[in-house]
Amino acid sequence: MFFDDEDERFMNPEILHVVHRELYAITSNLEISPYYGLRNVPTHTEDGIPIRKLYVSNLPPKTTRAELFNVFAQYGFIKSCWLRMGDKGPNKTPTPTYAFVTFGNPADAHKALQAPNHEKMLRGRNLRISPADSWHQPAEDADGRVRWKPRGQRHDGEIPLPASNGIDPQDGPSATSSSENDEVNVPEENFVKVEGGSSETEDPYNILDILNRDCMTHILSFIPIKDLIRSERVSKSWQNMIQEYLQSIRTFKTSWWVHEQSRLTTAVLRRVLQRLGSSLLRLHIDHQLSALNDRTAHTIGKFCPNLEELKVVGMYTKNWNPLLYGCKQLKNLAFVSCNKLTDSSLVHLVKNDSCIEVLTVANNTHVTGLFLTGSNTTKLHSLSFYNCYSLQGTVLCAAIDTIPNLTTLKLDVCPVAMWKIIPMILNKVPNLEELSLSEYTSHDGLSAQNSDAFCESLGQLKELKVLNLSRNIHINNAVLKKISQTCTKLESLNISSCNSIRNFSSPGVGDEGVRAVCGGCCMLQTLDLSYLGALTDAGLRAAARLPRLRRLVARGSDALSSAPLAHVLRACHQLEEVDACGCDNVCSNVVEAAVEALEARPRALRLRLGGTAAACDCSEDEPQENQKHKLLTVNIEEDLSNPNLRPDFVDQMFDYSSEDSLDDLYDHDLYDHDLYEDFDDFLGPADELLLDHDDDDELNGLYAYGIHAADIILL
Amino acid sequence: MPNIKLQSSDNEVFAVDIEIAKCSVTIKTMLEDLGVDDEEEEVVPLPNVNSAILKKVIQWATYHKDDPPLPEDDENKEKRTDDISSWDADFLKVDQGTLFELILAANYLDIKGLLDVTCKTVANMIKGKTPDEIRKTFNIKNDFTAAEEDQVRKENEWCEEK
Repeated sequence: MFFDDEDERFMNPEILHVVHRELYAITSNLEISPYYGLRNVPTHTEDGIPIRKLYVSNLPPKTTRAELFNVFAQYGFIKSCWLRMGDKGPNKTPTPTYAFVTFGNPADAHKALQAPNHEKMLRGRNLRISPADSWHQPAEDADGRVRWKPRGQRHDGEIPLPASNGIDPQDGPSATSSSENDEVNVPEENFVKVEGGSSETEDPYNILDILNRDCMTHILSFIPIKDLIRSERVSKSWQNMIQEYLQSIRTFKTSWWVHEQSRLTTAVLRRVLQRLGSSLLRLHIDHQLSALNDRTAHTIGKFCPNLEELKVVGMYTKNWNPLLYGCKQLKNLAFVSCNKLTDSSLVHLVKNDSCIEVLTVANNTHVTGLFLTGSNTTKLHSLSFYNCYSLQGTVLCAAIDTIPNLTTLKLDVCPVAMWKIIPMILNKVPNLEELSLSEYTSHDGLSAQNSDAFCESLGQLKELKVLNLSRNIHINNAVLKKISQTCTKLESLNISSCNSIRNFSSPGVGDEGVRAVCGGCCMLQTLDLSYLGALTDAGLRAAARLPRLRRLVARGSDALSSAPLAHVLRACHQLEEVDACGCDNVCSNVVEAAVEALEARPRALRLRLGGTAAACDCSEDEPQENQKHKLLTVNIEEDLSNPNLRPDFVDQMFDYSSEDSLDDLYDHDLYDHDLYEDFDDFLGPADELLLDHDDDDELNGLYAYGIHAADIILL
Repeated sequence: MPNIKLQSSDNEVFAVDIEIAKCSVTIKTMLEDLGVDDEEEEVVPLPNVNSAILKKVIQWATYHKDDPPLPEDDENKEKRTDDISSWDADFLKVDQGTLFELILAANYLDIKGLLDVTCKTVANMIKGKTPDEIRKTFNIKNDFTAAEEDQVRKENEWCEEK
């Protein structure tokens, strides 16, 4: 300050205050930027709220409010002064830990911040002073009114302030004052009375005063939305906080609601979206047993203008056109098990000027693909059909011409007749980066001619990065060889459960094909070789030639042992996960090899060895097995493999004879697959197993209990 | 293992294994940015954390030093609050003031595991509670007038019934 103590004693405090203000005005004219005055002391918080409230720490024990008041009163009118009492004193006696001092005028708070340290001493301690978080600062309304409580008044009775206490007129008149339990207002004239006031002995802390916004947001993120909305009634500042938090939510899945007793009806969804719709980017209506009606599409369109992703599961709404008028940003659209959905539902959503980039239709019995004909949509780049019974290959083939930018195509579990058309479709999309053709399990159309056509069309796809051919009976070593020659950019390949039966005359997938792929596609990062009966150690060993391999999956085969896995672990330095669940002959040598490999390269590695011989070794001998290396996680409890997919699986249902000849086995297998397909075809909405990985895991969980896909439909 | 010295706001100095201290991203980046030599023993001032809280934080970090790194927050997943380990639950049997200060410290020091588990503990105090119970738990004064509160109650009637 500009006066030493001696002078100050004889000054009229009124005059002193005026002088201070004048000096502040002079100095503030010198400010270089609006937010930082001289000596770099901020006058506003980062988000532009004037700083009135100061956080004071390093308090001497037994500080009283009156003492604090004395220290800060010299800088201007103090609106309130609050001491946080902790119980950290000797014998857990209450002792002050920190304090908030709120000035009526931000200029005074600024002065207090700027003042030299020796003025801000109490009982020989330098008080540590900084602006309180913006969360705590009294907010100013647009018209300059100050809300003294952080985020909203707590009392309605507005008592005008005494005019005599020197507040600048611009924030004075409308300031509210009230008696509160956590922050007692202290008019300047009578602050002496406050000494010995009750707030020192009570502990009137309040979660909203202590925790900043970051922390509160983190806490709220763990609470179900319904609980948040219900809690709005707690207090005004709490309500503000909840509503601000709800506005910050970007993703909402209605399946998060299933723990609640109240059912999610369209009316309830409307109230939820009223609160969070405007900022919502991703909405999944994916809870079971939907009670939502046809108005839901309107509701979403009305309240979610910024929605980018919508996934709908199990709704019977036919008309989704209201989405067009509301959700102008919608890029990603998925309809799963929506049985009333037809081509006419989709034709307006996917047309030349629509924003839709990714479209998924799953478990549907009506959509033929006709809606795509003439759509001329330039934005659409990903198209997925899963278990669409009515999908017509020829229609789709013609429509593909009008989708010039397609890079992802998934035609999984689609009608048998599709397979003949697929080579023609593939010929039209040479720029494809992701292709999925899984679950073609019927041996109808299994001919050399079809196989050649398919191989040839694959030969066009030089840009392919992700390829899923799991459970596809048409895949054989020749296909894999073709892949190894053309798809040199391939990063992910899944050929689990392909046509692979040991000692079977028809050429299926075996060592030869796997070796070719591992030699040709050297960019591969993910490789799934599960349930391949003809794959032996020699074939699996070839995976060691993939320098970028991150994830290797080889589940459910009794032909594989530890040796090739150990070899791969030593050779592939990028490996992050090896999954050999259900491989009976894989033993704990793999764990040792992994530990050895980790010595050479520090990168976290996960081994999944549920249902292997290693699991037996480990659980019996050393339960501490998975503590062997810091970077190694070994999971031996969870067997993710599906026993029904194993090449040596014999379905008890068909095992009338006691003879276990391999021919019988193969027949059963085929019969089995046919059965699945029929079920799928007739019952339409099967298990919901596409899209995200979680669902996959869930299904695998069911498989572990020996339930088939077909059973799930019936459940 | 080399040690690092951490100084609390009330000037108490704690010597901590450098690997344990590095579970705080704040300290880790600080050390990386400064290029601190492992040889010399630095004193890192932590002006926002007092000694009692810092002691708790170090205790937590020491127990969890071998934990695998936590996955990044995925807002596509529903967040759970029922997966607090029994050790953590015991560790967090403290008064609310300490719990809040631990949250602030974990936030400031950027220790995700500690922040998560403390926030989950507070979230569990809010989950499934009536507004009245929440007020009582956190000492929040109801500043709605009766009429205002009735209006909010009416608006939210659909989620009030249990």
